[in-house]
Amino acid sequence: MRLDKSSLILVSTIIATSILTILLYFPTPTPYSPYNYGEQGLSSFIQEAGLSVCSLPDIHGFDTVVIVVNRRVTDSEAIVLKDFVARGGRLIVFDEDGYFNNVSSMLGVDVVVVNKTVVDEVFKQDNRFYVVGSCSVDKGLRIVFYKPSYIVIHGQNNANVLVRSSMYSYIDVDGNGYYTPGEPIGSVYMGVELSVGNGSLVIISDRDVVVNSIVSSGDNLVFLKKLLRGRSCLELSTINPQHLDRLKYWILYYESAIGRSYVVAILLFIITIIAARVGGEHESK
Amino acid sequence: MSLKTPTITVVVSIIVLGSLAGAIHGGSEHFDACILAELYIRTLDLIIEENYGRVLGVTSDLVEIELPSNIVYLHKKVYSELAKVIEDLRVLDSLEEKLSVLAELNKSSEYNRTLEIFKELVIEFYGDRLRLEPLLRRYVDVLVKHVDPSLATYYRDLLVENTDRLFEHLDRKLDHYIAIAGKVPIAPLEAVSIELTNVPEYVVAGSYMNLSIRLAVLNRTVVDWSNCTLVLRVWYGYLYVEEYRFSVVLDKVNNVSFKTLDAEEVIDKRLPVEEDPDRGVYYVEVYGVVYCTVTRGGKAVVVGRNMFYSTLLMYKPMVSIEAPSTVYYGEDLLLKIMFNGSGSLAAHVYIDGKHVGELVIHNGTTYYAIPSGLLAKGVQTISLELEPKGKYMGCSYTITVLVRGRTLDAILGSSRVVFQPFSRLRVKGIVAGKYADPGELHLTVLLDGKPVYNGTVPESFDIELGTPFTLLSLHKITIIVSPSNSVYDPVVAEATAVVVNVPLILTLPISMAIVLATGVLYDITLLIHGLRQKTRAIVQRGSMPLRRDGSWRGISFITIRFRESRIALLYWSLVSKLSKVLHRPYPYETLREYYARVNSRLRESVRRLFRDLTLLVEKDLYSRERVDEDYFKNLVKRVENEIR
Repeated sequence: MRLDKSSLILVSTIIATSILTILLYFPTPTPYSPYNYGEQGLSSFIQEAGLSVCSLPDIHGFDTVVIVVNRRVTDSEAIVLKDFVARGGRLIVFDEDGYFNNVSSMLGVDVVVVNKTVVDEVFKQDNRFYVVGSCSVDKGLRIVFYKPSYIVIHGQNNANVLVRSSMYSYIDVDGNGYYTPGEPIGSVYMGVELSVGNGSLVIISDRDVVVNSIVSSGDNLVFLKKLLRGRSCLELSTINPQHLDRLKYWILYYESAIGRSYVVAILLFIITIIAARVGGEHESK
Repeated sequence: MSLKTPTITVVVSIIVLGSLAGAIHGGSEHFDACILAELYIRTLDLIIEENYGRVLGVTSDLVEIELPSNIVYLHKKVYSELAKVIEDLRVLDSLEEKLSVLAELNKSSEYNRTLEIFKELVIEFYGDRLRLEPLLRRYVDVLVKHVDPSLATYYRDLLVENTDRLFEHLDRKLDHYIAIAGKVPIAPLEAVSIELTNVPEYVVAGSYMNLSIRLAVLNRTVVDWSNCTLVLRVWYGYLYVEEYRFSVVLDKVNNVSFKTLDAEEVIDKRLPVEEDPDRGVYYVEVYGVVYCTVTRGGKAVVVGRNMFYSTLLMYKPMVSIEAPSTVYYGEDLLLKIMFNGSGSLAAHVYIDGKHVGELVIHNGTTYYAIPSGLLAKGVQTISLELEPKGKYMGCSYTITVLVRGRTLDAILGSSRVVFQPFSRLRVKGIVAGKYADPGELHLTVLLDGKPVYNGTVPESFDIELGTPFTLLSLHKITIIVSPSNSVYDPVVAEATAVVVNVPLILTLPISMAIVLATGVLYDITLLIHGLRQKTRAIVQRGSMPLRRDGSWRGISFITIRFRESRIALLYWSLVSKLSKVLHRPYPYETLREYYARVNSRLRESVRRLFRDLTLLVEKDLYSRERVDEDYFKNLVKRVENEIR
């Protein structure tokens, strides 16, 4: 069936509108993405804590930067983060795999996240993998973690322990999900704060503490809000974002600069023109 | 295709990855028996170390653990009983210290008072220790059942060893306290051996439990055997205890029996009941402690003890109910209740949760009629709730019955096509009652779900209704005839009708043809082209050159050029200057209206010049004549000089 030019533009516009709707309103499935509204997303955290989303080059415009480390931090990224802290910034790191350990050592901080799961059958929510930690600074706060790792502080005098597990928790060394004779039982650190130069560094040994399914549990939001200082943002690149996350970030970044309607209009126009041109070429063939 | 594919991929990815993301938080919900075993051992260690302050904190934490229903009760009981024993020990230790101080200070009266309290507490501690042992042994068994099979032996040995250590410790403490008490009438535990045989694994609720008990004296020198009594304390679900006393003969088998609780008592005392729905049975744990006591110095002295376990068994009564699935409104409902069991059971009948009657069900078949007056139209949920009795637990059986009215004989219909404005929607019907007079008939007509007629009609009716203004539309007609006699159900009929507006259908194409033929669409086209040219929005009507390329449609073939009016620009520049001393023109004002509003505020010389200027701008904008720009500039300059 051959379409005349008007029909082609109409169809292209409908397609473009559909694509835009998906881009703007469909959540992404990326774990720890601020644009993921599912259990594994950070949309609630972002909204409730009033965080902006930023990329690594833009972090110097903020007082506090939150990173949820879901991949290895490259040396160039580590330098930017180190520079941010050195200039007096506050860096809050959610890391359960120890990906941030190399940055810690670069910052001269002898604190290590050990990638072994902490399990607690006594202080738990629902089941033993949802470990409830107690806040050492603000007594009475119950922080819910999901399969957290633990933090070891080697001779770091300026470390301030923020959250620790109960004396009944144990390290699931063999990772079988059950206690095996010999596995250490006792309280471990799951959140520490350190002064680094003019800035400060907070390390929480669990990424899931901020995900949508958990962030509203216990006193997580109260605790997390207390960690933030001044203008705060979530750095996007360390969550290992997918293309859709990057595109959404781009759209929302420019939206804040020039307004959503203009961004939508520009995108609609661009996509329509491309679609019409592609369709036109197809028609001419 | 190239556009569709990525869209589908994105959507599918979202669904698949979303479900994967959701699966991440799955995880085992089985409790970890190994860590419970470790914590149990650590708790016992703390008791043996006599670190009572810490162990009380630990027990209060551990008693609150959320666990599956098959262990949670036992777990809580273990830690609450442990806490009780620890509290006993703590108080006894502090009293012991107080006694030693009082003895040293030679305060005999206070010493004796404290000693009496101490003695009472020792007896209480002894009872708590006795209750604790079967509980801990059972807890150990349950934990071992839940650990990984490869670790079962390891943990069994470890748990049994530590439990033994605890009781050795507690018995040592007991001996120590007895020694302090001096005259406390507790004989050594091993004075009499109590051997229990024929302990049934299960005992039916309300029946008699028979036990064979043999008492063997181990140490005759310890006590006086003249008044030997057997005390049997039977605990149900660790919550309720019954005590029995028997006279016994030493060194012989004594057969004793007692009546167990029946189901009614189990419910009344709110004992914890486990249910096996597959087998239709209920269980309550039973454990008994048998003491042998003798009287010494007017007080009962425990000289031996033993324990037994059993399970109280109750049954779900096997009842089935037969009833018609549908009954007509106004008829009684007969329930046929079949009970295959012994004795009789009291039962209550509920309709939609409302109590309507009670009856007694006997073995075999029992009939019960629910009067028609209690049955409303619609689906009725009828429940039969059986009271617990003897070995039968209370339970409930439910059936649903549809109570419906009789059907009226009715023929209903409506027009299929309505030609506006020549015809209206006709709704016709003939209704008759076969079983009884249907009474007054109420007709409701819905057009697309909205009522358009509500009123009483005769048995044969034919009414006309208006239809909404439309061009061409399809409507759903619902006709409901409700008789006043509730024996009958309302009759509902549905139909569709096409509504055609004949004048509009005829007028529309003619109007379209006129629009196309007269080129009314040009104005719209001009506006579009005007916007595309990005011309300044000063349009000069009449001087706009149009060019048509000969096409009769003239929609996409017009080129328009707009020019700016220099005269108008000069005028607005002057107005801008004037507005510093005069009012600004309103957006809706014409040039003359503005002049009329402000002229009274101008001097005569300026007023005249401004009037001339206004007329010249109008001429330039709205006529085909041009205005001499130099002349206009000259006038503007004069006004400016005047107002300076």
